[in-house]
Amino acid sequence: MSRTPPNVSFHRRSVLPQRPEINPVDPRALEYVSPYDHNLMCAICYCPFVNAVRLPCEHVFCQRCINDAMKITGIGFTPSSLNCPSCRRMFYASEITSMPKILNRMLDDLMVTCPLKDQGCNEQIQRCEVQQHVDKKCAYSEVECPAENCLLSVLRKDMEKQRCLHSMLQCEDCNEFFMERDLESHRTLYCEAGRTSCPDCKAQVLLCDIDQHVESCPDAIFPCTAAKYGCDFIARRLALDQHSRTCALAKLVPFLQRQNERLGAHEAALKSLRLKNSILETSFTSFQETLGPSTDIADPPSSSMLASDSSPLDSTARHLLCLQESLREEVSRVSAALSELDARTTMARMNESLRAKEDISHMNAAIVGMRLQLHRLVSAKKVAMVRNQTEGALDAGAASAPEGPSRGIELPIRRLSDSSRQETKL
Amino acid sequence: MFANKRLGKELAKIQQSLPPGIDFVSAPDFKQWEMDIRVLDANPLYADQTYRLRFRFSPNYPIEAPEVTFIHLSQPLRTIPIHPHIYSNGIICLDLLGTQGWSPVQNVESVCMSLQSMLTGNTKNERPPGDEEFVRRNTQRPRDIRFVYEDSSV
Ligand SMILES: [Zn+2]
Ligand SMILES: [Zn+2]
Ligand SMILES: [Zn+2]
Ligand SMILES: [Zn+2]
Ligand SMILES: [Zn+2]
Ligand SMILES: [Zn+2]
Ligand SMILES: [Zn+2]
Repeated sequence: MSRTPPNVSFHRRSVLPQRPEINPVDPRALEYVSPYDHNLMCAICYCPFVNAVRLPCEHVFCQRCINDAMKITGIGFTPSSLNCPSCRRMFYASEITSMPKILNRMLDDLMVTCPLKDQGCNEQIQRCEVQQHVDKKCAYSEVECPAENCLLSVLRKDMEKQRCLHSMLQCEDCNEFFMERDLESHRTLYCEAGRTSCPDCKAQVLLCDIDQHVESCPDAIFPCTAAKYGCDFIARRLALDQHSRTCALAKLVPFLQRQNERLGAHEAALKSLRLKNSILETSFTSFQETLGPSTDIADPPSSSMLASDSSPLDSTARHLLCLQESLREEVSRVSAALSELDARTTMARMNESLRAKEDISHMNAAIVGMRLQLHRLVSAKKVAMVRNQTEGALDAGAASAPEGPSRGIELPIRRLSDSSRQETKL
Repeated sequence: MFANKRLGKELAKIQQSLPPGIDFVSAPDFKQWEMDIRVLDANPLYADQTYRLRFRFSPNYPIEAPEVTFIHLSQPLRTIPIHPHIYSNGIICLDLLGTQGWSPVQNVESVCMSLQSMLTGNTKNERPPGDEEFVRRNTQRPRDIRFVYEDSSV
């Protein structure tokens, strides 16, 4: 429901003096917040009973509902008798009895929203206090203008401005004059000049709200959400909603979007890989040049084998890997040969040295033999010389003679047997 | 008055559930609603036909009866049912809808059901007496016409 200005006569340029009047609240027009038992609902106003009364037929209604019904049927005057609205049994006004007070009090405690909710009041109050709220507290009820000589009314919330809001101001859009208190609602709700019509649905929209309206306009024409992927459908928002429920392409949109994203990521990755590859290739060619022919042998078979089953990027990478592999093999082969060579030289050296050692020991033995021979010869010579001396000195002295020669003879004899044994060995 | 509040509650109920053969059409405001009714049994007079009802509410509803008429439409096709109490311009002569017969405990749904049963029980393939004359002369709104409910059995 659209907001209506509190008093229509103020809206246009009229300056009729008018005092705010107390509006009696009809409890049957209130909006109930708290839930209530549906057995306590009046069959006429469909509200929880207000001052419930009982007819002799046991049917219960609000006092005011029964009064209203009697007035209408009586056309102009309240008749003394009526038929019960529910069962059509006739009754007299004097037969109406009231219901227990406790029932009415319980129903009066039900929570309702302020009747000036449409004007902006968001209060929730007990039903029995609604009238007091509207009369004394509600910020959106009309009160006398605070200016002394003014007979007009303002909203209670505007009282604090402490000045008359009834001076005439001009609307910037339509140049008409309005009271200050009505200008804002005029501009947001009623001004025609401050409006523009929506190009699609022809609705009148406030100039300042047009962007927002276009966003949500039900008649605005849009292409199908899958327009990018080939759906040519163009329609108003409502028809479009229906279309997108059946459009196969529209259903694929999220999937296609994901695919697109993935494709983009792959392209970026490919680009960086290409760059990396070109760097590797240049460094590889320089590497190849320095290595010379051995890599040329490993190169052709590996590249032809790999190019057949994968992308050019992969084949070059693998090609590089193969080359590296063959180089590694080459190196290991060389190192194996090297170690073999090393072992062989060690063996040869050992053999050589063994033979040399043997020779040396032969020579050593020969030298020993020769020394022995020399010794024997020398000692034989000595013995001969001693025999000559004893023969010559038999006359000079015999006392010292037996001691010396006996020692000197014994030693060489023993040595002789040794050396002879060594000689046989040689 | 509380007409709008009461109509709001009726509308909420109508949009939830309605008896078979009664369908809600539109309620742009609390002044005028439209409903469709159908006869459920195989009455040859009304078989396979749907009729459009227009309700007009005064600010004094439900103390005052709503103004209920059948209306003629071409798209979708809605005709005025033939019945000895229904004039060919759609005005219904039913005491329930008059000041005397109306009760404020009635509502849109109960009026629809009364009209549905009024059609179901009818066997006469005729308009009210003086239909042509009435349709030609009548400029009054149905509420202001003082019908004489001579036949209370229908
Ligand atoms: Zn009531
Ligand atoms: Zn009763
Ligand atoms: Zn309030
Ligand atoms: Zn003032
Ligand atoms: Zn303006
Ligand atoms: Zn629009
Ligand atoms: Zn599409």
